[in-house]
Amino acid sequence: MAVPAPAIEAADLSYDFGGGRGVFDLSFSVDRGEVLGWLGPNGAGKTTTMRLLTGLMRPRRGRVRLLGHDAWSGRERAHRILGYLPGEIGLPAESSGGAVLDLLAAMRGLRDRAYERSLVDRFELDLRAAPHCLSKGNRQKLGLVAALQHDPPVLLLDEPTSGFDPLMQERFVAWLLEEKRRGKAILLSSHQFSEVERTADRIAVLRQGRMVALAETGFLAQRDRRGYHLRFGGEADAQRFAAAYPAARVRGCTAEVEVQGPLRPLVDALAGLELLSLRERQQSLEDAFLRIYAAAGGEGA
Amino acid sequence: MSGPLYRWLVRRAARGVGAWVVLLACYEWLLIWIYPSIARNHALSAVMAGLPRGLVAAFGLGGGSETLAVFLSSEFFSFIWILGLAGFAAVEAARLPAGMLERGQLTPLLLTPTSRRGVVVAAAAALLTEILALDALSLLAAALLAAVYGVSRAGVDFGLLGLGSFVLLAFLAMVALAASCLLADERSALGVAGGIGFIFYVLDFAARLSPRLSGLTHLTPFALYRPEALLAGHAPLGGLAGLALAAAGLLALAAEWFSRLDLRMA
Ligand SMILES: Nc1ncnc2c1ncn2[C@@H]1O[C@H](COP(=O)(O)OP(=O)(O)OP(=O)(O)O)[C@@H](O)[C@H]1O
Ligand SMILES: [Mg+2]
Repeated sequence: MAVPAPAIEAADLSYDFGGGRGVFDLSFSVDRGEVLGWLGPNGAGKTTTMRLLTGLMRPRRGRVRLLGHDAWSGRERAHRILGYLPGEIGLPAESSGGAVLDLLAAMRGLRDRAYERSLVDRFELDLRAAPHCLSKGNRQKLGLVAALQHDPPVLLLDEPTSGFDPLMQERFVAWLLEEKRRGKAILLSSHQFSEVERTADRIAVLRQGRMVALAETGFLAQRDRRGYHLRFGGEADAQRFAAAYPAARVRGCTAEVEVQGPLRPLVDALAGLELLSLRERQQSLEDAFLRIYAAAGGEGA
Repeated sequence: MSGPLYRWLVRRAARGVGAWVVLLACYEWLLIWIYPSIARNHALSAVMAGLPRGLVAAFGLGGGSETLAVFLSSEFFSFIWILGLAGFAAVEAARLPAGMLERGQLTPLLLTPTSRRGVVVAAAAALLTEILALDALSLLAAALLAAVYGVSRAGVDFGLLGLGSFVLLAFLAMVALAASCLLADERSALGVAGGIGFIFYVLDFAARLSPRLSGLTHLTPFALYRPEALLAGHAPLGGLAGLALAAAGLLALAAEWFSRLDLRMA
């Protein structure tokens, strides 16, 4: 029995801007009904990857297939099944958002616009305003509807909620989860960790154009370490604790520890000591990624 | 070609084209209105007679001002009108695809199943439609004004002038469109198209100025556009057909190039 091919398939994808910038040797795939989180610090190559997937840019090496269509040589066919929401949205100059959607629908040969209407209602988009008069968030909404009006099975979303208020971000996450259940393959780049954490099945981390991590979101969460802040009755107790639990960082009568795995060793080390308070700092995925990002040292490092 | 894109582009340009037609018609109205007084002005003819023959020919003043056709072609059709329309074509071609691409406005259109070739061909078709409208409407205005002012139009063939100018403008527009596709940068596209048009015009001017330089007429499409001759019913049909073919070739080249372009900036 033939195994269905992944919806998005990139092999050895490379594009060199020169000076060490670009993306290098990216191989990954996204299945139907899967969200792949696409993370990385500024300049890591997230947008570049997506532009290669759209066929706007031509890979220097490697290739991309979208539901079997080559993103560069089969561009027109790939565009039928692709929805790309760019990070920076450009829209044709028109008198109203509705006119922009009409033009794109006509160019797509789109007759049934029920899905488009459902998006408009859902994100409360005002179609009468001219694109250049829209606020950042409303412009983002128009860009979203313009990119996805044809209900494509493959979605590339580059920082889709930038400019959204918290209410809209919530709606977006709910919508994304629905689309995932409907079987769409989604590549999601975002600097909003909570959004990625709640929607992505797997997460890839890019750094200076290379993939440095690719794992299940759950796995990354499990690896999450919890941190504790402890306060002792006196410095002597704190020192005794430091001797019993070498990983602790002690200052005066307080200590900071990070725990990965079972809590038992920590509890044992505390036996017989005068503990005044214990506070848990749950480290989120965000903390984990902030460490990866900091190690990357940002763009060009 | 993408029909919806073509219609959208033409609709978007309609107001600008209308404004240009009104402006040109006003200028024509002025010229036709003062024509009778100039035609009677023998002093002017005397001055012309004193000028060197080459210079007179270069400025298209050869025949003096004794007919409306000669007057309009020297004052208007061989200079302001044709260069104005060529400028319009260059600006429009630089805007699409290059300008819209730079501003990111083309990206959503390029992400539809419409091929990039289809986008370029639609842009070319819209551009030619706009030029045709400008060309035909401003000539129609000239004919109407001449009729209203009772100026004799005997032996004045506006239709042939329209044909000749349209083919020349179509060629220049496709040069500009090719620059826009190849450079994908609005300013450089406008600069290159303007520069090429200017060189063509200057070559033609030089060829008219001196019989020794008449060989230059083979290097410039403007040589095929002689308003006086066209108005008088003489058209270099073979040359114009060749020019139209060259325009089609440029369009094919531009579309092909654009479809292979690596769009880093879109
Ligand atoms: N047109 C271009 N010409 C030259 N270099 C470019 C171009 N576009 C991007 N780059 C470089 O490629 C690298 C990746 O850029 P990219 O936009 O893909 O990053 P990103 O991960 O999307 O960052 P951000 O989080 O800021 O959106 C950067 O170093 C950037 O400077
Ligand atoms: Mg980006």
